[in-house]
Amino acid sequence: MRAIIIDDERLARNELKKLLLEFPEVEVIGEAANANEGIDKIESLSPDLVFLDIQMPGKTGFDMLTELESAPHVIFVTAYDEYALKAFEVNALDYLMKPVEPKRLADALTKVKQKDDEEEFSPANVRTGLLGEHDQVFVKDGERCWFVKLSEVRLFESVGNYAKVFFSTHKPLILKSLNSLEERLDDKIFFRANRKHIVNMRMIDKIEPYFNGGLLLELHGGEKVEVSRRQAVKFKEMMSL
Amino acid sequence: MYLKPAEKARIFFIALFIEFCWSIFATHLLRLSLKKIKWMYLPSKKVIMVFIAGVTLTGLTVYYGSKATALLTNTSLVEYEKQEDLSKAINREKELNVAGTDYYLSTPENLAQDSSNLNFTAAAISIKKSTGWYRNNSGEWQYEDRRKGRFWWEIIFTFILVALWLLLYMVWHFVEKNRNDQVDKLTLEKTVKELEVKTIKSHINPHFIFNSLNSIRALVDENPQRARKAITELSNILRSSLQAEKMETVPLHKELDIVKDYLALEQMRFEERLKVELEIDKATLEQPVPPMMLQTLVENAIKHGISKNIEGGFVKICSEFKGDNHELVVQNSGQLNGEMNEDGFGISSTENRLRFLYQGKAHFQIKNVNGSMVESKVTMPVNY
Repeated sequence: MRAIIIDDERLARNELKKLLLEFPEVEVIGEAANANEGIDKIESLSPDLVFLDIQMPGKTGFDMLTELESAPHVIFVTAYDEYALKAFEVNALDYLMKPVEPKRLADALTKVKQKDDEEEFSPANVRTGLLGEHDQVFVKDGERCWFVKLSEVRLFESVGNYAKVFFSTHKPLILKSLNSLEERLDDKIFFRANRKHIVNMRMIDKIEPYFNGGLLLELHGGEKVEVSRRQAVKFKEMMSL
Repeated sequence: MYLKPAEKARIFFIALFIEFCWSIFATHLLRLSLKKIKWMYLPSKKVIMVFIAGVTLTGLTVYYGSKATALLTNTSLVEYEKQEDLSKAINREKELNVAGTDYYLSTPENLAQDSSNLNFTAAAISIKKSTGWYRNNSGEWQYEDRRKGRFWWEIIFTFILVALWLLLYMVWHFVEKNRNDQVDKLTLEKTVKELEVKTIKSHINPHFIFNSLNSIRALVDENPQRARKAITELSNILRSSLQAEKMETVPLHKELDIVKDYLALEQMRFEERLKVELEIDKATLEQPVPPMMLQTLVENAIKHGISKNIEGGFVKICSEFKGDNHELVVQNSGQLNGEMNEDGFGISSTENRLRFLYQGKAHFQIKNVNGSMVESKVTMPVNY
């Protein structure tokens, strides 16, 4: 596993590197001292795993993650921080407390490996540069944050410069336009139904004819999305395949 | 029967008294039941229903209670008036010279247009009109209430009074309760504040403790000498934060030792990102200061000025006499940007401690200086 460490304190990074020497399967390929460096490193090295501090100068670790197109596996490493602890409790994210206990580090790494294996066995995980259904994005909505698998997302809705992401019972906003999302999403799974919506084809419950030769899709969550006439033609083509 | 004026007044007051007693009884009952059902905690719709029911029941109790008592004790003003009017009617009969005749049979319908008959009819009408009494066909006196509809007026009047009374009662109690709640809230707030001040003294950011421990662990291999020193520094801080609870004030030099230890540990973490400057007038070293106060200010300066900035920054501590005052100043690079409320714990706790210790004679101020620097200043009286 190729990992990078993002922490503003040199000593903290060194300490973690030292601890990771015990785990030969983890190779530390880079370090960053703040969020901006972190983004560069993640994009250029595309690591399998990121150790991330939360309190950093400039931007917090959470903010950094929301800026990424697709979030890698992340293990948060933080000293006592009530705000972050709350986020962890709510979302069951992987996290380690400084000073890091070697046993807990081992547990966290095992968990990451398990997740990795699951994805490896599942089909259609070919890296095409597009975001597949097994990629995850990090979304933050006030105090709450989630890693969301794209396969769990039912619908993206455009709200000005933002996009609303519908998954399970939540619908937080992410700072991405629908057009840029469409470019990056796998069009076999995600379909642009109209100007305002991108739907997950696997989450469609019902298809009904609608005015003007359009279609009305009902999703698993009960959301109703209209497919414009032009797109309906495309949709039917895709479905008939 | 004729009632003398004195007697009339007596009966009037007795009737009034009886009515008054019934009102007291009914309203007392109403008050108890309102208390029992805790009307103030009911939703407003229910309060209105309770109000209407209360008015109805109280009104009925007062009205019928007074009426029944009046009839039973025979001290009803109305009954007495009726009797009085009867004697008036008999007198009137005499005055009109129709007493002993059967003038009451002469109604315009059943008699011919005889002028004497017409006079008789006029007499009958006049007596009935002025007293309410008249003789029926068999010559017996009968009474016809001249004030028809009085019953309803009485009921409505009673009810309006009761409703007004009840409204006043409810509003008054509501206001009273609100005021009491406010007072309770204030006293509670005060005790909470006092407790807070006590605990603040020993307040050291856990984030700092664990980060320092983590750095020390990294240093154990890298620089054992520095690691040992760091452990001593951390112990000093922890010890003095425990002792701070027991003391009102400490000499400045003791507080400065803690702050220096603290800064040394933070420099170990932030390395070249944190620059420290001290400018201490030696004469002020023995001045008493609240324990852990300077430390809190320095901690805030680092938290907001240095840890948020990628390039880091500086912290400068000054201590000097200014007239009759001792001034402690902590400056750090950075900007105040409305974060004072969000992270106001350090600021408000410092203000509270100074207020408690110096009874308003010490001052605390935090502001932007020269556009790129934040300065927090504590001014304490020298001889306090």
